[in-house]
Amino acid sequence: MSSRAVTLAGYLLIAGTGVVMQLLAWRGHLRIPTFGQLMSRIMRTRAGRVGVMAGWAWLGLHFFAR
Amino acid sequence: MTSHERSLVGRSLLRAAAIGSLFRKAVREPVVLVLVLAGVVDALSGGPWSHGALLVGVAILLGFDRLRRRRRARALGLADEGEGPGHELEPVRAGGGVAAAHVAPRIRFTPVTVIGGVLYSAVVGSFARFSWPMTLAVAVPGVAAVVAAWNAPARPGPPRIEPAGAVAWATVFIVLGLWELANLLLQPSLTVGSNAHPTISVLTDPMLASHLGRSVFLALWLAFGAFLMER
Repeated sequence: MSSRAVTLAGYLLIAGTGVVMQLLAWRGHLRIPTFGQLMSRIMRTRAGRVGVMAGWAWLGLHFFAR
Repeated sequence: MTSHERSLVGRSLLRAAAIGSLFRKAVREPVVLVLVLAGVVDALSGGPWSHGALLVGVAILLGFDRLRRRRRARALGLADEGEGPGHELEPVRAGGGVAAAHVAPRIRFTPVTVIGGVLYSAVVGSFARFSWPMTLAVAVPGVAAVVAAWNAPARPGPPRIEPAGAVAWATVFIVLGLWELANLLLQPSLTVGSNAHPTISVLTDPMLASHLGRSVFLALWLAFGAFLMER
């Protein structure tokens, strides 16, 4: 297995884990919050709201902007 | 133990206590720590200074805001401004309602906003990456969202989430961050991508080379932003 394949497999495993957790949360299995509930909890304070939105803005800048 | 040795031990303990206090303050506001770290790593990996500056600048503003609120809480005789709903000291009516003027606008997924987002993505996607029109088209909604988040009052708190569930999600994101960092460090240099150890940026470059790819990505970015604003 090449290094690139291992790297891609790692990303897919992490993304897959997130998807599975979200599905389990939606169905109410295990005591896992959905991603939305987690974000709601983090964003209940100014620091959380501003920090999360700054991260979102940075994402756009990182992929598109000078 | 001589008096000099006792003095050294005492000073070491005081230093440790000061570091511990600083660490506790940072951990109580982990967002500030995360933003500073992210800004520094972004700058070290060759990103434009403005990107890291956004994160560090927001962290500094949040730090000052926290100091201001703590002083205000002390002046009002509160033990600590704490965390959670209601600690923002926003104006309230008798009975606990929030004054209407401070209710933050929510972004709804209506046909108008969806069509507007699609049109925005289609037009802005035609701009070249890293061009000034693209930079402005992304920076304006980004900064607007941060400002809106700053001015929004604390919303009614969601039900408490299970700590184990929060730890599970945190683990996923920390592992993602570490995996990305590992691949960044395995590159020939921090600013040169690697086919053998591609970072997310390197993987998305082919997708973002086309108008359609950029438009799709922008639409997803906007939708994610609207989803977050709704929280």
